[in-house]
Amino acid sequence: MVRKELRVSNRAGIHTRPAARIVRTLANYESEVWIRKGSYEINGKSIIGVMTLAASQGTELTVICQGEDEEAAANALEDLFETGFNEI
Amino acid sequence: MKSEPRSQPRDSAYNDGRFQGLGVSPGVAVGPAVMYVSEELVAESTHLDGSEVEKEAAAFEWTVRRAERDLHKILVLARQRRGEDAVGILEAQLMMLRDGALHTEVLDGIRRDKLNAEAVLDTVIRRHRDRMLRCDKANFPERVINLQDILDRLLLHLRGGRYCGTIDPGAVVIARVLTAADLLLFSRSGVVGCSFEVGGVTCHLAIIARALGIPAVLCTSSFPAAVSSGETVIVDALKGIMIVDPSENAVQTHERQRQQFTRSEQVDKAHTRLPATTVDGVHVRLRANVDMPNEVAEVAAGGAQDIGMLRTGMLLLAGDEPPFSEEIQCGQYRRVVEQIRPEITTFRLLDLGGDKALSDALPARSPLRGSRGIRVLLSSPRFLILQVRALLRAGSDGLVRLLLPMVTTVAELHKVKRVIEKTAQNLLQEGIPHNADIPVRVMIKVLAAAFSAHALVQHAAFLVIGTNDLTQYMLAVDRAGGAGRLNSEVHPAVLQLVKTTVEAANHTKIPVSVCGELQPRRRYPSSWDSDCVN
Repeated sequence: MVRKELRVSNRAGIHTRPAARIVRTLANYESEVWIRKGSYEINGKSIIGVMTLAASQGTELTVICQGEDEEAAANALEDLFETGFNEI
Repeated sequence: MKSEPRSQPRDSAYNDGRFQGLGVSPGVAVGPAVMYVSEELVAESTHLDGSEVEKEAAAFEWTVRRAERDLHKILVLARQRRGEDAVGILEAQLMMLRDGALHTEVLDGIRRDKLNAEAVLDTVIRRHRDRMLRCDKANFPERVINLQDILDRLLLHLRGGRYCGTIDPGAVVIARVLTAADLLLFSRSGVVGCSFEVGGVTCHLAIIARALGIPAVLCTSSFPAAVSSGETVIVDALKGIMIVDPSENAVQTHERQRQQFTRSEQVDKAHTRLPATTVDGVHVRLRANVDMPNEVAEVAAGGAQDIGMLRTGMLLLAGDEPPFSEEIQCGQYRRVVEQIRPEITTFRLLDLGGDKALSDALPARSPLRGSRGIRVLLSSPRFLILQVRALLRAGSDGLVRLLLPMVTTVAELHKVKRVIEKTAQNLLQEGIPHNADIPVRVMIKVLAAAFSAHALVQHAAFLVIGTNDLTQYMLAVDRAGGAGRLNSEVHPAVLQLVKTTVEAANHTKIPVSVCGELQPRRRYPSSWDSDCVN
């Protein structure tokens, strides 16, 4: 299991399009992925779930990946957050 | 065709299913009617017998697949018409339809509660929506709308209805209210005509209909109640009438007229190749107005030399979502500039408000006299700065001009110029290539601006007279309102005001042009040519 703390860096936060990017990215990996905001946890491969996070700029999220390619999935997600979903 | 007598009178003027209206986009169309109603769908709840449960689950899965296929078709159309950047939201919506977690929740609900799919889906979506609303309503309005859209789409499919994207080619759309975005979509489905009830000659929908070449009639009586889907209708926008369930004779006559009109349009297109010169030898520079990126290629074909006004609103509408990112805007603008180079492209800053609602994130649907154009932008500087940044950057790739809509006072012009200067300084500090020296053109739409043209010309590089708005403010006629017939740009008072503005511009020797539906009219007073507007 891999666990990472990620911060939302783009100005607009995780609105529909960044949510789509997250889910599309994770679809390439076999691992199961959960994203936590405080005590609320969602399935990282469910776009509706990711959208309900309502994560605005600066929000701290915990990502948990579990599976054969957990390391790669977590890294891909980290890249996505660091580049601000390409829309800083 | 039905032959039984109608029980209700259709219209005061005619008894044979004719509706007198106003043609707002020329042409003739004959085809089966499709009633388009954008109403709120309400889910109904039914308890299932044990034996029905699995059937309902299977029906839900089948519905989802059908809705997916439908949305995918729309996505392909949007991509063709508006490019890759515009389909982000549609792609996200498609992913929402395919969301495995959602399917599981609904299927579990059907089996556990023995309820119909419609009711379970409604509960599930509502739960997600409430969570979004509770968390951070202000920042994420579009997610809630997207989710609601998915719910509506699935509810419609569950009931065997069809979502607007699947209208058959050759159909005539009948609607009380139609948005420009709806029509855009219909045009790709091959809709041949439309008739609607709310609007006017210069409302946004009419302009889009003309741009797409879809004949449109504005009917003021409450006709949609008298038409049913599948009935043959004729939309004769040349005479401004709609005929429901016409005689065989009327169909043949109008079919002939339709062919004639199409032929004459082709002749008109050939004429666009000739130089635009008036009979007294004055050459008129033709500039194209552009809404969609793919229209850029048509500009040269239409005989225009450059882009006189690119309405950035439509470029960013549908598919995209606010806040419109600087990168997406810059990419869109750059593509246009590169195609038009070495000629000039004039980008009009976002003109929202009035009948041009763009999104929930910007104030819209406000009265036509209230928050519009530069007023909205100055009150939401975030959008103004984003757009100016993108345009200054695109300006490094070709000749770019900015056009400010709805300027009323010289002070507004100064304010925008200060924003441009500040933005250029920031771009310089950030080391981002841009053009800091982009001339600012002012659009004369408000009467006060026309009367103070002599002051505005001291600070503007160019005046553009927007006759559509000028007319509605002058004649007290709402361009989206019911008094369509009165909305005439050739009222002597309008022409007088145009003359005043032109004189102010000529006095300071800055160029002036006319932008509006006044131009494409076939007949206008001969006094027009001598005004020397070019």
